[in-house]
Amino acid sequence: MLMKNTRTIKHIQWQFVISSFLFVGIIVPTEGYSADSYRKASFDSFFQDTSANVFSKDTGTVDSSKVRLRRFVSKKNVDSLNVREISKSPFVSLQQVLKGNTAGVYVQETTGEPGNVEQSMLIRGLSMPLLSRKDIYQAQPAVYINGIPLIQDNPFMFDVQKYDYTPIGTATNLLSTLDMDNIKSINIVKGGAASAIYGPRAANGAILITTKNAEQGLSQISVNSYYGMVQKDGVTTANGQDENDFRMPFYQKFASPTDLDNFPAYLRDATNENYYGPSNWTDLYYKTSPVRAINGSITGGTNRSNFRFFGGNTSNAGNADGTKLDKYVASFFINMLPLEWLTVSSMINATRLERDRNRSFRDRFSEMQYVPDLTSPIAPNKLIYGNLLNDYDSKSIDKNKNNSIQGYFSVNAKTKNLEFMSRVGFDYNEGLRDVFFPSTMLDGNNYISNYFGYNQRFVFDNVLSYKYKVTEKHKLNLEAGYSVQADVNRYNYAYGYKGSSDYIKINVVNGSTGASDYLLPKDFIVYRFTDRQKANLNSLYGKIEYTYNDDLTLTAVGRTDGSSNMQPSARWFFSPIVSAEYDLKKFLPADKSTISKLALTASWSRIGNLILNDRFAAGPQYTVDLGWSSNPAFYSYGGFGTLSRPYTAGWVGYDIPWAYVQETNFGVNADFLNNRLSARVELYSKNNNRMLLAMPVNSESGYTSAYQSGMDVNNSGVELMLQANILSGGKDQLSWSSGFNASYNRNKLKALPGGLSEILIGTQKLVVGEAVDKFWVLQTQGVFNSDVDVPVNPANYQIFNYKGLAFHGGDPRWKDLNGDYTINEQDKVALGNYMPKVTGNFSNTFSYNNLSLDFNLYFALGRNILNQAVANRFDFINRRGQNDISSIDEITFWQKDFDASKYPVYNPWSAVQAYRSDQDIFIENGSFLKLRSLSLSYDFGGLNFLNKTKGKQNRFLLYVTATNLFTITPYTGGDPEVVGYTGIDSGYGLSIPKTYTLGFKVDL
Amino acid sequence: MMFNIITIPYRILTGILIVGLLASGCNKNLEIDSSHLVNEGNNWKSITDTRSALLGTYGLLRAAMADNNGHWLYGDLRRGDFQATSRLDLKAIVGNNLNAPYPVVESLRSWRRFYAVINSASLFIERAHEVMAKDKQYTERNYKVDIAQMHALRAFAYFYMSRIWGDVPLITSSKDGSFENVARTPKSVVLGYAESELLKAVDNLPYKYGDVNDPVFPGLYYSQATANWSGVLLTKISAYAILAHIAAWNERYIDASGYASFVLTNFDKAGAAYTATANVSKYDGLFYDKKASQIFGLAFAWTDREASVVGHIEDLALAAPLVTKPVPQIYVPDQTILSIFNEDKDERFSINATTGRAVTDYFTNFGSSNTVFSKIKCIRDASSDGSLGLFSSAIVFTRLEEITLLYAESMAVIGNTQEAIDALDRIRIARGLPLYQGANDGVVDAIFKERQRELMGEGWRWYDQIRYNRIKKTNPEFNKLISTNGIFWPISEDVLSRNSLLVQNEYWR
Repeated sequence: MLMKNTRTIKHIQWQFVISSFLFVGIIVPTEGYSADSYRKASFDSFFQDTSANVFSKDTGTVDSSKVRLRRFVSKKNVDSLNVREISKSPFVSLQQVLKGNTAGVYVQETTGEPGNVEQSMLIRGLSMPLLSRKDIYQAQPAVYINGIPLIQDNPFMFDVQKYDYTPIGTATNLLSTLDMDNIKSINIVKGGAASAIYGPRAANGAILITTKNAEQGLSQISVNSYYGMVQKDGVTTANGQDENDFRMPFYQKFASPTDLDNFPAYLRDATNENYYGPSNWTDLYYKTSPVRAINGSITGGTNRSNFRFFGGNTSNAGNADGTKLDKYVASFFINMLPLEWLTVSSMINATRLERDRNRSFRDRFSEMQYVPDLTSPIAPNKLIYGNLLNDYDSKSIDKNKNNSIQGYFSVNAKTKNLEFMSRVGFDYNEGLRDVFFPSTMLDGNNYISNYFGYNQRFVFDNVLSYKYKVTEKHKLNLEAGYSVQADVNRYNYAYGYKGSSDYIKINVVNGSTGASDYLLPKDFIVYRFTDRQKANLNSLYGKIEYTYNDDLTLTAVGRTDGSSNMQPSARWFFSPIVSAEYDLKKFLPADKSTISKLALTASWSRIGNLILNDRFAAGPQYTVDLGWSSNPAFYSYGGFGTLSRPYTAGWVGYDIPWAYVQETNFGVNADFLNNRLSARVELYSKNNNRMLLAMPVNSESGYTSAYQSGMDVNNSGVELMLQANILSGGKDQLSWSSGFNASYNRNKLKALPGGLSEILIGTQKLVVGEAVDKFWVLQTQGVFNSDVDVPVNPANYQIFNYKGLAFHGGDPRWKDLNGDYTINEQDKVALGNYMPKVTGNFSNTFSYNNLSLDFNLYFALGRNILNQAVANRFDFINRRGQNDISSIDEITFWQKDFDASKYPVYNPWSAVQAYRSDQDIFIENGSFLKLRSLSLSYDFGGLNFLNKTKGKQNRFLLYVTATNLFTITPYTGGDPEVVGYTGIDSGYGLSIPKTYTLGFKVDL
Repeated sequence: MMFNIITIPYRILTGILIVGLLASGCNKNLEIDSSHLVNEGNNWKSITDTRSALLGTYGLLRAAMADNNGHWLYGDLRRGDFQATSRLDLKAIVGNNLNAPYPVVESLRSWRRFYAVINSASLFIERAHEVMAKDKQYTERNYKVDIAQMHALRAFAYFYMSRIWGDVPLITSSKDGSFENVARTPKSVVLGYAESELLKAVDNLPYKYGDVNDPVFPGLYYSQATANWSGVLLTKISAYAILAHIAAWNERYIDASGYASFVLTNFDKAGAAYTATANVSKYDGLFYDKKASQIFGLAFAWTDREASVVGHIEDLALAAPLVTKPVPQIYVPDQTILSIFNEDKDERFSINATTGRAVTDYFTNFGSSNTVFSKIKCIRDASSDGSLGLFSSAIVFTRLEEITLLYAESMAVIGNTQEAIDALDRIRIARGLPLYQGANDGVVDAIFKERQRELMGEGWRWYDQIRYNRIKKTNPEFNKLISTNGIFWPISEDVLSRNSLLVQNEYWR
């Protein structure tokens, strides 16, 4: 019986596919977009959530006689993106799409390398200090595609890494799997009221992506494409002469005879053509590269059964170092209505990403966990650099592939008032990385590494809802949901050195199980790592929504969530959430010409915050802790595996409670001048409470730290959104609409575990009452010209010193805050912050008939950058001496990118490390304003040459877009948009390039 | 109306009930045992748990000594024969600027890693008996041997720390999970404790692990034979060698000579032997892999895949032509070499009188501008191909030659000059030198000179200077260093800030 049913379904399905292909030429879509409706769509989507349309916020089955997908998205209290406008720009990752386009979301890209994993999204500020490399993962919002919460990489791989610049594996952004042409809407969930039904996964906010879906109607075909290029940067190159000119003053002023003897050999000989000759590496490094995308979709079916297929390919490139991302997407959707009251829908969305990574020495050596001799940097000469690139291109393997597939199967049963939805969803993604570097690239050793890792999530959701109209005035909407989520993260990783030949690029092992050398490497010296983590989350919630007279809505949600990453004694967390919304329409004048709408919202919520790491559930524990700073992953002694307490990772005790987010939110929505001006203001105060912090403990315990819960961080802010229809021109008139959003945010540390008022973790100071994103730096007050200038403490005749080391002539005169004649961490002041105080965007659309011009300005203000790149240039003596990963000079070393005369002259040999980066001279204002996109489009759909019968309903949009055209910033370093998560500009971020594209979007 | 109000909640209740039923069965899936760790309930159950914990403690000690090449930076660099080429942090240590704010120096000022060894050993001592109750394979004799090793290892860690910092907090139990602050304990108490702990342990320590003929613990040890354990675990001989050093450090040379003489009379029971000059500096010589002649060492055996870059003198001292690095991080200036190795026919280093050229097993490219200290050069599987600098030499704390010279030193100090000269000559002859011909009052100098030559690059030079100056008291500058406790390292600012009861060493205040 079951068998038969399935066959019928398949039969129906195929019939649709075939019929739709047959009718492509003559089918006329039932819906299309004119320029007018297009503008309206974008206008509406911006303020979708402001409508107090109480009962229709669920885009579920509207009319049960037609198949409509239930999108599982509550649209109340969420912001929407203008997806149509954004899809004209060649963005490849979700982060890039969100950047600046919605209030309260701050996106930090750390490099312009397309598809790189290092991009973060922070919704409503920074909820915790970023003390370790893993912390940024903990602060990310959840991303849902059609209700499936996507699983992301777990940062546990950093445990085996000596250097944490990039994670092992593909380091590809899993959120670049999306194709904007396949997306119908993107909504941002912020504030507890909106997060309520998503629970702990959305404790940092959530991003809800709804793809375009199957729809009824005769087959509708869309084709979208663009072609274009990224423009290369103009760079002033430098050669040995410039470097010599830069260093000589320091040598003349401070060098001892031995120091002079140690003058770098590569700079000593001015006749050395390699270093003193032409500096033309930029020809090979910066390149204008093509970008392109093409995709198409077909949608169709009857009102009882319909489908959609989408397929596309996107190729994006950076303008430097040969970076590139290729993306292939295929999606398939089917909805069916086997019974009048029953909807069955399913989705499969598959993506493949292939990425060409940057070729910096730092990333290569850190991956190899081996630093060769770095005495001389690579020469700026095209020939020398070309040889290296040739090794990359012809002898190396550097393959990065990611496959990702999501899907669901859901059943939705609905009677008049009662609705039940059950859904099984999964998200699986895998990363494969194969690397081989020939012996010519590393001191005569070749290197191999292979990585396979996957993340897998399974979700089972059930939602039951009931609408009950007590009287005309009183309405109730009840909902209960239950969900189970099971996650697995896993990787296998092996790297090896010293294969016997550069022609054997794979790690050969004996595959016969009986052999004594089963799976042992035949050739390379191989190190293997494998790790696995499982995490489950069970949730149960109930929601009551009461509406009075269609203008007052009160909602209460209670939920309980159990996480396997919590200890058995505190496994479950109960979250209450209440919210209210009041539409003041009956108090407004009947004349809508001044004020046409006014609504107030308020909410209070408390939601549990998940821990990504599974080590806290166990309490006191034993682990492998044999490593030291340069070999963190050592695991055996005398050939046997070992166990000890987690001295390095930190003590974990019992009774760790759930951390939670408590948020209070007020909002006002108002429309003026017959809805021509809409405004929305949101005020929030978000407390991330009871967070775990690795607290320093006495070193005599053997531990670096002990985890304690009790860190509270508050984020408060205001978000303003304005949308104005300045000129609402009709036919043959100019129309102009303008959107502006700005958000102000500030964070504050409210409490530390154990009631402490301040602690120092490494060099990062945390002080209750201060922001957690401060730079703590020494203040400069000039320089000691000679030894006699250095003051002496009259109390004990101790010389003014840096941590006990007396200052000398040529050393910086740092400000002694506490007057103890010793400069140490106590003398650092909180200066500047790396999170911007204000971010926002200003977008405008001008249109005249079918022609429209859009531009979008993005700004981040009140934020600072620590220019470590410059500090490193001055610290050349120290860095050269170390010969570690921080002493690498990349090919980009050979450019004139800073003004040395702006910085004081100190003795670079001094043991106080005069050019240390934690001082105020390297803190800069990192505010910026960018013209993020500019596009001009014309819709030929209004002309009816395409389809003479119903031309008006077609769309044939032709557009040109330029992105990232200019930046206004006081920052003197590189692109202020691409710095590290903690505001440190290491100089490694490739700039975000200017792109120019020409594209079309056709709906037939 | 009334009817509705009653029935609707009833239907909802049913719905919630169904969902609730689903939920109640699902607490079980939240019990996941992490693959990263062993929780309290699953540890201390079987003999593999004690093996893991025992070797883990050794591993922690190895990490403490290997981190940033600390063993050599503490022992060989400070006012030693080595000079740094370009690393400013190493130059600071050589120049005794130990409060220089370089990250490596800052890390060396911290004793945290040694306390991890101590905590781990204490925990073993407190918990291992639980395994005896649960696993029949874990015999009482095995337990006693394990406990003795942990006592000895903890004592060694205290001795090693006290040599560096002087007074250190004495903590003798794990205080698992509580982090009480403890003030510094006078060094005499700490060393006294270490000595008493070692004396308690020696009786239960075997000469050889995994040997059927061992009088203390005959038979396989953790199912492994001697080859697996030599140079890996702490033996009775190792414990006596450490005892000898504690006594000598305390200037109790009579005790020192007694402990040392136990080593010198019983070393063959542990399978140890004197090493010929050629075998000291061979690729697969004394320092390579794990060997009984490394009387107390911490192995990085290639056969166990435990080679590393950092944690070896090779990382600091080797350079081209032995490895690809053109210039070493540290070197011994040619003048210093000539002044230390100033006797003819020294197999380690001497100038051939007829050719005028250097004959040496210790140095490569002598006389070039880039003399490389190449006494220890265990590259991977004892390879001569230095293109991949993974080193497999053990951190050898002491070996027979070292203990012999310590015995000679003890004898010389207590006035038994002939015995001292005999012991000294044992080493001199082995290195191609003639018998000691000097005056009796020069024997202490001769012994320390011999130590300087023999033990170069093994982490002894700094401590030898202290013992020498304590005996001789002829160098006013050094006397002052000793009397003001300037011989000790400053304590890291980080360590001080974590425990309010600690005070900085007065010399570095």
